[in-house]
Amino acid sequence: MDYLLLIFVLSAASVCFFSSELSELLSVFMPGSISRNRFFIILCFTLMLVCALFFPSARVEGGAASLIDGTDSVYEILISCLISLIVILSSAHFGVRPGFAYCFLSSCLALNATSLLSSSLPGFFATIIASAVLSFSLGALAAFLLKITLKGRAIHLLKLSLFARASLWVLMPLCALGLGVNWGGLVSSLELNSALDGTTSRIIAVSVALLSAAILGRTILRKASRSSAQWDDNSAYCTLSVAFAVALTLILLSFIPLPAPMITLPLAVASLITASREGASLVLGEGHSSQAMLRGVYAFLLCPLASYLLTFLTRIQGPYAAAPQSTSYTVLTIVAIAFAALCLVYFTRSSRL
Amino acid sequence: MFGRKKTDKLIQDIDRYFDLMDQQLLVFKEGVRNYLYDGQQAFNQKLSSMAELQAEIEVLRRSLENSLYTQTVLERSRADIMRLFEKTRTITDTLNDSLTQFEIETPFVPSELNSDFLKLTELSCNAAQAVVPAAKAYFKLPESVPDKIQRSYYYEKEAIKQSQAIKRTVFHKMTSLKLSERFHLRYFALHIETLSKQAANVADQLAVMTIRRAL
Repeated sequence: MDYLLLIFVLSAASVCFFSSELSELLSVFMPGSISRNRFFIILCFTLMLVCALFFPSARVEGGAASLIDGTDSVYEILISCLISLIVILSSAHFGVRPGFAYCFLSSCLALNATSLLSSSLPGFFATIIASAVLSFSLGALAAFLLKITLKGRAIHLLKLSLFARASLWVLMPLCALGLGVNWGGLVSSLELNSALDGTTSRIIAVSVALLSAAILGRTILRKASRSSAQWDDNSAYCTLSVAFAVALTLILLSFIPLPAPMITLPLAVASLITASREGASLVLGEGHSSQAMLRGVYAFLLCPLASYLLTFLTRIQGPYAAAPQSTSYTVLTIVAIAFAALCLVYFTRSSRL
Repeated sequence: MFGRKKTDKLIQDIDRYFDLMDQQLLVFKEGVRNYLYDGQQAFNQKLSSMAELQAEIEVLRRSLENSLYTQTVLERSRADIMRLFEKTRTITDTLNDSLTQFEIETPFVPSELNSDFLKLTELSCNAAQAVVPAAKAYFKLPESVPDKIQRSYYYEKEAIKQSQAIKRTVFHKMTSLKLSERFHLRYFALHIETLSKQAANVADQLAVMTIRRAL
């Protein structure tokens, strides 16, 4: 039963991760014709898997793991995964690209609302905001460096393209490494929560990940290819800056000791891309799509709220229902009002744009 | 590594494409001169040269379009470059078609209009020739493009004036010509004039592309 449960959890998590985080990350590299080289993608995927399993981010104990460790059982993690999957699939229908990370963690937060809300929430938000700010700054910095290096030089456009392409190919393994290390903490927390020993759960994790990748491979590439259309209005320098910023943000926020109240969180790639793209576009003076920006911001806000709400509702009425408390209802009311307000603003703005 | 050789080949192909376009313009100019001054054999030679150049340029353009999509990271510039190739294609097609039409329709050009037609051809070809270095500069030194395309606009205006002068002469002064002959001459003047307008279109495209490429 434990095996089956872990396989269920990992399968749901894999589907969510592949259809949101991984496809978003791949979309940055699609313009570099990376999709044509399947061998390189497999290599990067293997690197990511190895990093996730054997080199998870430091300070797991005090980070996102605390949200998961607080859950009563693997069943609750499975509920969180499934709710995240519902949110991801339904928001994709509206063209919003949510991050699995924040949906899942919001759901975990809802499961532990009473015990962990006061201790984890400030760290949760501080890290999300810091990651966006860092990504924005690194995107802007990379774009600025590129701008001053290349401005006024008589280099053939295709040579510049070659340079950008080569840089993207170098940055892709770095991003895979960053993503693996960053998300490794969450994988190890899942293992800790299962009743199985470490080696068995790792073997199961690897098998599920490989099987999911084999089944979803084409879908991921197709989704990444569709998402890469967002780069049509940007130059290759912007893409390069974004890839650099995302890789560095993932690595930095996984390795360096973070000041309080920040915690080590698995970061949503979509939000990092949106932030770094804004930074790079600002420096390069390129126009950006307001629609894409709006969708990015709302994915950042709406989807975690939706995930939180859904989990809370299952907790009140489902088989694992906890005794309702006045604090929980207050939080639920605030979240519901915020969710409704954001939905209203999103649809109003979308119709205007 | 990373397709450096392919990129070098692509750069060479782009240069070759614009060189071929330049050669087509020279052949067209010479072809019209030969037609007007009774160099039938030389005209036929130019016609076959034009056909060869057109065939080569078509193959090269398809190959370039394919390579630009598969080998480059030019999300923003790619569409612009494709549009540039499409617009230059209209020039090469017009050159080929116009010369072929001279051979098929053999328009009767009164000898007093020979120099006017030749001048119109030269002005239109100059307008098109001015965009060739500008198009090459877009890839290497985009800052120099605005200066280069100014010549094209100038020659376009001059070509239009010359074309109008020819049409005016044909319809107002050459009353001895049949109406069908007048229409025929107007039609050929219009074809040659169109070449300069297409060159100006390419110049406009290059101007926009340069602004977009500015880092």
